[in-house]
Amino acid sequence: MILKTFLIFIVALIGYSDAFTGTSLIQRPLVMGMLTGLVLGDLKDGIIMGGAMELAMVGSVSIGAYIPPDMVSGTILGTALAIQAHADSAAALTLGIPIATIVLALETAIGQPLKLIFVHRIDKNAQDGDTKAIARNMIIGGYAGKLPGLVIVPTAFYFGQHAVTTLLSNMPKFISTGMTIASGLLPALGFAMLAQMIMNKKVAVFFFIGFFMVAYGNLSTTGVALFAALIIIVMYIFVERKDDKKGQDTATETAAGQATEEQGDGFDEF
Amino acid sequence: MIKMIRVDYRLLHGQVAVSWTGTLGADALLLVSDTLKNDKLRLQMLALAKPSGVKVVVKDTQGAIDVIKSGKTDRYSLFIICETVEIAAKLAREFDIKSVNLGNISFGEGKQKISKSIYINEDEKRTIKELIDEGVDVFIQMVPTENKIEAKNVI
Repeated sequence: MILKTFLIFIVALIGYSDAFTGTSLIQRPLVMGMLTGLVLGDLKDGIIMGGAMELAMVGSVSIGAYIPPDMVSGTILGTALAIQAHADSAAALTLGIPIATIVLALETAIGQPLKLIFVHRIDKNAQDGDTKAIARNMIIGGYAGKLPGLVIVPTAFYFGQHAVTTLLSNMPKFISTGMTIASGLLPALGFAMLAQMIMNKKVAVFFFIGFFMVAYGNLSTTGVALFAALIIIVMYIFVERKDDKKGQDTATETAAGQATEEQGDGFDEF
Repeated sequence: MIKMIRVDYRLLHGQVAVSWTGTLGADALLLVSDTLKNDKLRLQMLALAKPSGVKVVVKDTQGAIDVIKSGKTDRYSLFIICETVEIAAKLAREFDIKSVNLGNISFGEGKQKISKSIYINEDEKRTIKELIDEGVDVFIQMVPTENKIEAKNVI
């Protein structure tokens, strides 16, 4: 049990290293769910639960002053507690989403002020011209901001599983039915959030191709994903990319000595 | 067609490149700054923030006025991001635009905080007041999902 708790902490540490590893998407529920499953000896359920969490949180990306719920703690605790209680992914989801929201609130209230201490130190380091200290304080500050999650994940796993197991096994039927229905709705919400961010005239057609494949072709989502992967490959091979072409033009012009001063700074012209 | 004029000292970042560009349906972003052209490091960093599928052009104030006047920008849904209030005021007057969005104005010594992301000094305050008097709707809104605050109510 102690070992499992320690390994769960390591998984959380890996997840919270997302920014440190260059926004590698290592914190995504898909990865966290899989690692949690691996640690608890149930890789398959871990992947399935991680997948369910990923669908619900697929639109949770911190872009444009939006701070998503803390999916690291939500996925790890949701998946781990559900696996320990031998429950399904609906349970993982209904446990995980509130946890993610609560931990985000704690990170904002406790983690961010801690991080700010280091931000001010970095300001001072910059004034002193001490680049090594800047790098060091950036890393420490990054993890300091995640302190609430790093503490809560192993603690809640260690002390919470008995309570959660009892709760889930004694739950009235109508609540567990409600949980299952809610877990069917959440992916739609997650996808709607994603669509709000990335949907435009160009990609909408692909959305509907996938939608109708499921609606009329009775294809599973895995099937749609496989076709989508193939479409990407086809487009990559056969469709000439504008960026490449422009790069060549610029190169030719530079060679001809006609390049203006403004070219090469990475921006466009009208 | 000019979709919106925004004041944002960070010029190009998530709020601009993703949130606003999507909501406005803009297909070209014009970044207007008089200091950027000589700042290689900042240019490099901003180039990393370029969203795909959208034109991003950098001009100084005069260059921006010239290029809009030339008519080259007419076929775009143009979203103009100005580094300072002064630039935004100049463009709004030049092209008779009756609405200016205040997104982010940085904190500095002796500046007055009028919203969570807007800090203004006396000059900026005067310019904003003048714009309002000229009938321009100056509103504070960091991202589209946030509520609009009318500048005239907070200064």
